[in-house]
Amino acid sequence: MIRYISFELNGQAVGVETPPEARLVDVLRENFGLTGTKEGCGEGECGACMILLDGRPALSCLVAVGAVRSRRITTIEGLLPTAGFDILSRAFNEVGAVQCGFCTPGMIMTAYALLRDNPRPDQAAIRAAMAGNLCRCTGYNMIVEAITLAASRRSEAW
Amino acid sequence: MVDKVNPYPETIEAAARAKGAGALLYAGGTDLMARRAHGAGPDPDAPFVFLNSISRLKGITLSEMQVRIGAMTTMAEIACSPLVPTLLARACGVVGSPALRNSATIGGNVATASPCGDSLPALYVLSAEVELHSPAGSRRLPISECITGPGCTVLRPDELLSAIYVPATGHYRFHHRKVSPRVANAITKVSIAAAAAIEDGIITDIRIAFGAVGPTVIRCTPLERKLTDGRTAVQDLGGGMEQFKALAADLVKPIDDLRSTAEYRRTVAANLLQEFLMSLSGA
Repeated sequence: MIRYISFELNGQAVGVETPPEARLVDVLRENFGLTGTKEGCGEGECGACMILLDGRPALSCLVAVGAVRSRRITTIEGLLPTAGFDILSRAFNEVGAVQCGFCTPGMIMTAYALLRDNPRPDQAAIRAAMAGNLCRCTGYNMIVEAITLAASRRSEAW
Repeated sequence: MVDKVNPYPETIEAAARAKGAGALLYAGGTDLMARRAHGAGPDPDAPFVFLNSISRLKGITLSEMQVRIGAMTTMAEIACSPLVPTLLARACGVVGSPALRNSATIGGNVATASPCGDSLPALYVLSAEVELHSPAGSRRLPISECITGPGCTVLRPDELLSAIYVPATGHYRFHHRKVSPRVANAITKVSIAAAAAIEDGIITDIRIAFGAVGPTVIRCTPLERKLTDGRTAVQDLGGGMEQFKALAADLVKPIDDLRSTAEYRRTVAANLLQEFLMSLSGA
């Protein structure tokens, strides 16, 4: 049954007419045209669909849009204007942590939340936080390097 | 009638009635949505009823040496809670992945009742109780009586799981290990949750549970009795190890499946027991 579901999306109050059972990844991509969030597996195991729900990483392919009523969603598009995104994206580029780029938005979402909450993560903490984000191209080391580099430049960005 | 159901009930009773009318309860949504993705799972046309407006399903509270964990409490919240026994925090901390744990709930993990459910062995060791609510009232039972088989619970059609109770534990030594091929997004092949109370070098209480090696959690009651009836000293554990391992290997009921073989699981379960017992005789 179609219902009107309102929530906050990248800082704006929005609403959408949709069945509450619809997947958030589909609503973001198709209703709102925010295609930065990707679908890699559709079963919550690759992290390409990562968004922030009330500021915490969440897998949008496993979230029904009805569950986000009155809550706060941030997508990769919402991170674009932030200083944290700037630091992370520069680090990813400098280190060569982007190949095909499909996993990258999800990686940045998770890394953004990590560095926001943990200013000086060690290798183990980075790998633990990123464990739910898969990459087929890079072999991961460059991504860990990029996050380490971003952390060293973190200062007051967050 | 189920089409008219309010997707955002504010009371447990309303949610239970909606479930009885055929709606699907959405807690963390992770199992529900993953099954949908596979075309499996319950009625594809049934509407969702979202539980996150019901305040009595939330929160971790401590009272009279008991911890009440609302069914909607996420794995992430439990993993970092100072109120929850460390064993349960550890167990919830290995579920899925960091992002998954921000959504997945303990109520969902118990109600799904997978043989591989990661919170379950710890809950059995802690003698957890579940609180079930229906429009007719509520009841509490031990978790071992709530889960009856793979994916099967005693929940009635209009009953929902509202909370888990665990004792606020005293001076127990805990042990937990999940054996899986990856750190994240890996279904458990074998797991152990265990606790022991030791006084003057003697084991006065011991609880050992294995996950993913049976239709439900395997609680090693005969082995536990053997260790406590005999007033086993921790320094003697090494000497009896082969017979303890053999007993554990007999108690587990693993199967061959796409993730592993029964033989592997049996061997590893016995090794996990050894690791636990050796940790007791250490410092």
